Amino acid sequence: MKMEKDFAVLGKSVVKKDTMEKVLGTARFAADLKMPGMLYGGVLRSTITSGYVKALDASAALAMEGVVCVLTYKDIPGKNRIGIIIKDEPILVDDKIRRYGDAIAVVAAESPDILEDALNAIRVEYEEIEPVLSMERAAQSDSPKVHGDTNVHQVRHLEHGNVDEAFARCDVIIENDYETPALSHMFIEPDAGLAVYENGIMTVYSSTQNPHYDRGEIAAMLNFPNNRVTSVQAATGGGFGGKLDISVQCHAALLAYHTGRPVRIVRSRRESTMVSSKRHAMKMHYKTGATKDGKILAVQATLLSDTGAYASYGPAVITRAAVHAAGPYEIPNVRVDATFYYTNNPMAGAFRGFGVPQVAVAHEGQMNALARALNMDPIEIRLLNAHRPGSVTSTGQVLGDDVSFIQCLEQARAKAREVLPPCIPSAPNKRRGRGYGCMYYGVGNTGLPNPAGAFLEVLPDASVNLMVGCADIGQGSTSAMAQIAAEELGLEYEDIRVTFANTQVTPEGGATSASRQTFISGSATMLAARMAKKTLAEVAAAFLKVPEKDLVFRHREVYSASDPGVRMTYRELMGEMKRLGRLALGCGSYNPKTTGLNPADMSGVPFEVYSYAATIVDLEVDVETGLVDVLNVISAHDVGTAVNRQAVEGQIEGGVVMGTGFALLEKIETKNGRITNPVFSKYLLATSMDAPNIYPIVVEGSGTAGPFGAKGVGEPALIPTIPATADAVEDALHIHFGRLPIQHIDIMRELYRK
Amino acid sequence: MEKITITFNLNGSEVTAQTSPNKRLVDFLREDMGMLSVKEGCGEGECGACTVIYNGNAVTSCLMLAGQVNGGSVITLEGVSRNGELNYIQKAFAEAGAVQCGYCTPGMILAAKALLDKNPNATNDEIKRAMSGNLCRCTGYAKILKAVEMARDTKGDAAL
Repeated sequence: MKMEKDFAVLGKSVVKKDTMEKVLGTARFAADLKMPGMLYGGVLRSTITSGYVKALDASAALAMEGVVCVLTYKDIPGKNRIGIIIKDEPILVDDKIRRYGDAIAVVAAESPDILEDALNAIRVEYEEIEPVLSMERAAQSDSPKVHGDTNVHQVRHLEHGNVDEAFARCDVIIENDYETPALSHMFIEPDAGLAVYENGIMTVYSSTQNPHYDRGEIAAMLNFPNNRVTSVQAATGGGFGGKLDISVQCHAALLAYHTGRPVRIVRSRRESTMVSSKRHAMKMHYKTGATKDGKILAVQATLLSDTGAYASYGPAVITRAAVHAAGPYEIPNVRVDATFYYTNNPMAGAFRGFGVPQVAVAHEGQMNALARALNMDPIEIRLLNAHRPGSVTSTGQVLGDDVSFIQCLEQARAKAREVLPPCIPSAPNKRRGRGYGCMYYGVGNTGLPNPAGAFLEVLPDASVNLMVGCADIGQGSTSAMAQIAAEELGLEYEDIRVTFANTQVTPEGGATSASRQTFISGSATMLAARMAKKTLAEVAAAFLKVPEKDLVFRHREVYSASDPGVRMTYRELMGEMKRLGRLALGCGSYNPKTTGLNPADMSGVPFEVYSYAATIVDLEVDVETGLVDVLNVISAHDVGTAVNRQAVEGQIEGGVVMGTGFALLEKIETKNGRITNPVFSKYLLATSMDAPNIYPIVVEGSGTAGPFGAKGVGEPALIPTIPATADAVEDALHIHFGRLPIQHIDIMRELYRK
Repeated sequence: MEKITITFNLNGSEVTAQTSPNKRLVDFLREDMGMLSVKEGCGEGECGACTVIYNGNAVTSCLMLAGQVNGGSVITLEGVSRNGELNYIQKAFAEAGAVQCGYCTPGMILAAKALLDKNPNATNDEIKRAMSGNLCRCTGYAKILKAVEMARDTKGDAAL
């Protein structure tokens, strides 16, 4: 059921605000920024994985002409620990090296060439200790401890219903192991930033997903009050979670502070991939029990992951993974035990989905296995168990009216009937398969406060300045905010200019993560517009001599709903405002309605709303080469309300291709804690030749939470394609792969074995 | 290191400049010529962000030395639009919603231009192949391919 929504601006496909400068090539990314007197900054990184710096000799570097300074931890005036949740990462190593590539010193030089020579000329003497390179080793009592006195980083236990009693009543029990790899975001723009220290103010422009967080870390490092640091997001060439941690911001700021000159740091691809966070590799064991009719009664899951050398978003990933472990189904009995370990491996953190893509591989693998065991249709078994309005989740949350999962399943199925050809291979050496995957995804941070704000002013000519904190990394939040403000004010998309992600002028936006900005910053924007509109309505009501509540603001006009002939243009209204000396100002903030989770069993209301999705993948496997050709992908997404339809489709399409890459291609490989494939020639991404036909389906619901009912789609876009692709390979070959990626070599190995 | 002098055509204008013999074309274009639309994503010719058109072909400027373009012609995205007016490929990219983060966009548009200049009636398969040297992590290529197809279909006489 698609609700008809009578919007003036929302729901239309608009050209994103940043499109013009990006197709002209005039958008300025951090590496494009240049200032007079600018220095080039770089980082000396450890070439061991675990140990101590015994001695550092920078004399040869400092003697070079054009080398301005070499700084170590001793030069940090304030706090030398950063981290979004747990501050456990040094800006520059002071006590211990915990991973390959830890930052030891920073250098500023007059040119990139001199910088490189200087970094090569610094001599470091190390004392190595045994690196902890696996979860198994991390768990042993005699292993070296990466932080403190235990390598157990985080533990979660979710208990819902009575799992043991329920399994005894099941007709069928499916038990499997699943494994997903560490992955690299591989945003195309390597991290970069420019720091300028002038008149006591530190300004840092950077490629980032969270300028407000960056501001706090820079200020703490320098012992500055927050208002003496300005953090500005430069145009950002993709993030996907990999630009949520501090990258170059603190290093550049430290160099600018000590030299008094602007300092730019641009990471190479190799450096960027080596030290930015990775997706948590996960080992999962699932036991799923159902009746012979396909009703799932119980799920028990064990999740193990290696968070690497630093916490980063690990605590968020483990919580979200546990909460979502049972999938978008009403299952009365669920038990999840999750343990994350510290090791000396690369730092794992946020990556599009925060652990949900990993558990979706398992819960959907189980669902598909169950359908096969019971000889049931994969959509029917899901319809039988699916979340609906009023369903109870595994945290005991009673879902509201904003759940449209059934519609996702039904619309995906209908589209498959319409567009997919019979499942017949195109050649004798090919096998064809269909696969199914679903997901649900809580919008915003899990059971934690995560507000965002907005400021707004309607100007005398009825154009608008809107200031929002939320970083736009290309997904289009800026344009969504403009549409939301225009809809609420009764103006047009073109009337709204958005200033975003600049801590000097925009309020807190929080992270561009957790698919939260449309819902949270969007709500704040709507509230800011509503506040300005309140003033406008007072003035318009007096002028038009109609009650305020009778007024309609739409398409640059204000009129009486009961007598539409009584009207004025927005410009006339602004003229009246001017005559009366009134200003149309608004501010708003929004924090999702959640509760904390009970630490004993994780019960609670971790999210205000959830997005849902159902995906069907159609592919062929060449049994002579093991190569997989993904032909068609249908992906239906419950987004509540699509603010910018074209941008929603763009998210879905991008997610689909990233999802096929997750299932079939991508994997970070390490040796002794060092990433051995940090470049595109060794870490393969899907190209245009690999892209399937994609059928994005935008499902809109009747929910009332959020701005005009909008939820989030950024991460949901990725998730269901991953299990659906794995399932389609299984369907084609009748071989179960619990471990991703399923590369051609894995297929050939299994075919040979068979 | 001794400088070399190169003369080449950049976006329609003859340019003579001094550069180091070991300077990469991407650095020369960005730092010395101010062509900041040329992006570096990997430095190993794999991602295509630094694509420019050299003597009519899309090439990765991170794998060329500045000296190699002596006597040749180079087009960057700055040379594709005129006075801020979008050309037909840029227009198609905007209309199709082919731009997300925008970092791959200059290279994508130039790869499309190199193809359509030579083969204005390129088939959809030829487009897919011609664009396969340029990585995009955001869009899943769907709207990028659609944009190039739209550009092909709408070129006509109005094209810049």
